This record gives sequence, C-alpha cells and structure tokens, in this order.
Amino acid sequence: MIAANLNTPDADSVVRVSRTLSAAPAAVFDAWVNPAKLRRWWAGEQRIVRIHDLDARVGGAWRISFDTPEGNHFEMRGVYQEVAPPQRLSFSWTAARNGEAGARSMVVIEFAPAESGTLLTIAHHLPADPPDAASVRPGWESSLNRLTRLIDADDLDANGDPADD
Amino acid sequence: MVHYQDAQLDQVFSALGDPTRRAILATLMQGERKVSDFPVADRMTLTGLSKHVRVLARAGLISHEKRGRDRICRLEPAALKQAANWISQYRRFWEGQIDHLEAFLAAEGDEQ
Repeated sequence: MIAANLNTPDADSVVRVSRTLSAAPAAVFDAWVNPAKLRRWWAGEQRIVRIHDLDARVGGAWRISFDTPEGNHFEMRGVYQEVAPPQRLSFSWTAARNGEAGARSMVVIEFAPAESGTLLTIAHHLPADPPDAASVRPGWESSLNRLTRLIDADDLDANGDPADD
Repeated sequence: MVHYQDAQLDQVFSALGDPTRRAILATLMQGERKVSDFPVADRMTLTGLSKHVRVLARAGLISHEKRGRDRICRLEPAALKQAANWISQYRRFWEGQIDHLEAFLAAEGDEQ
C-alpha cells in the first residue's frame, strides 16, 4: 500500500517519500525524538541546529531552528499527535523563514521493519492552499519562485516587461 | 512515468542550482536570444557558456537551435513551473532530510 503511493502526491495533496535505511526501526525512530541525535542530522552536517523544544509525547511541543550560509533563518515547530515507538510518529508542522510562517500542516512518519533495516515513510499532509513554498527550503527557491512569477505574469500580459522585477 | 518525472525534476533542480544558469533563464524571459548575446557572455568563454546551455536544455528548461553560425536559445516554461510547484518543493525537502538522516545513521553505525 505504501509502495503504490511512493513519490506520488495524492489527490488531497499528500507528499509521501519513502526509503529503506540500514538501521533498526528503534534506532531510526530514536534519531527523530532524541535531541542530541536530531541536532546532528536535521540540517545536515554543516549547519548548527538549535533544538528549543522536543517533548516527544502526545501533546508535547517541538521547535527547531537553524541558519543557512546565505543568512536565512529557518524555524520549524509543532505539537506531537502520535508517539508510538518504534512504529509511528506524527506531529503538526509550521515552518517559518526569516520570521514569516507558512500554513500549519501534518506530518506522519512510519517506521516499518524491512529486511535490511527500516522502511521509513514520511507523509506530509498539506493544506489545500499552497503556502509560501520558500518557507520549506533554504537557498535558491526564492529565485525560482521569482522566475516562475515572472513567467506567470508574462502569460497574463504579453506586453509586460518581466525584466523589471 | 513517475520515475521519469523525478529524474527530470532532479535535472531541473540541479540546473537551477547555479547562479549563471539562473541569470541565463532570467535573460530568456525577455525572449529568445543568441548565446553570444547573453549578458553573462562578456565574463565567460563561449565554451563555458555552451556547457551551461547544454545543462539547461537537458533539464528541459530551454530549447536551442543552430541558426547560421550562432545558437538561439528560448525558454521552455513548463519544466520551470513544474519545479516551482510547491508540492515538488516539499518532496525535495523531505528527500533531503532523509539524505541527512541516512548519513547520520551511517556515521552513528561507524561510531559503535
């Protein structure tokens, strides 16, 4: 059932990504709820991650922030909805880029035993209205969004001068 | 065809990861243009520029054709719009997170 949905956004805008990791489900689960571990991988090796809250029980809050080399400040936060080690973890999700928060959404993570470790599946249930996509990924996305807006503007108004952004 | 689309999307994102190529795209928003007329052409060799053009073309972001002694490039907006789709961006984000997690688990395994 999971495999059928792999990498395919559902009609209700669920982004689902899966991968088999070579570690036991308990170890993979722990990497999400143990602050000392989460800090080490959440933003890759290069960036310093601050774990402000990580109360991994139902109703508990989490809040993480980090800065990118480009000078952007990202903060993600939410509340745990389900904490069932080592099978399932779900939490609400709000991401902010430089203080501008996007819409609230839900993330459900499943840790299934696999032959060589764990099949990790992350399902991000997104709200119907597209949030500011720039709030989820650091780096060049704002350029990308700007380019796309220019194209869209161009489609609407052939006489417009998209160079004057 | 999901896999084909993902591979294509990877190429788009990788092509967009370079400031020179983004500058080329911004130029092509104004219409088709000869490679030698790109504003970035004065600080780059034609060979270097051709390489960027090939990367952009392979990602489906632009098309190009030889006209006389020059090469004319034109923007293909569909690939860019797909990449800018907010759902694609979330997927990229989570794929990146799993990359980080995978690297961490491997390092953690080595430490033990």
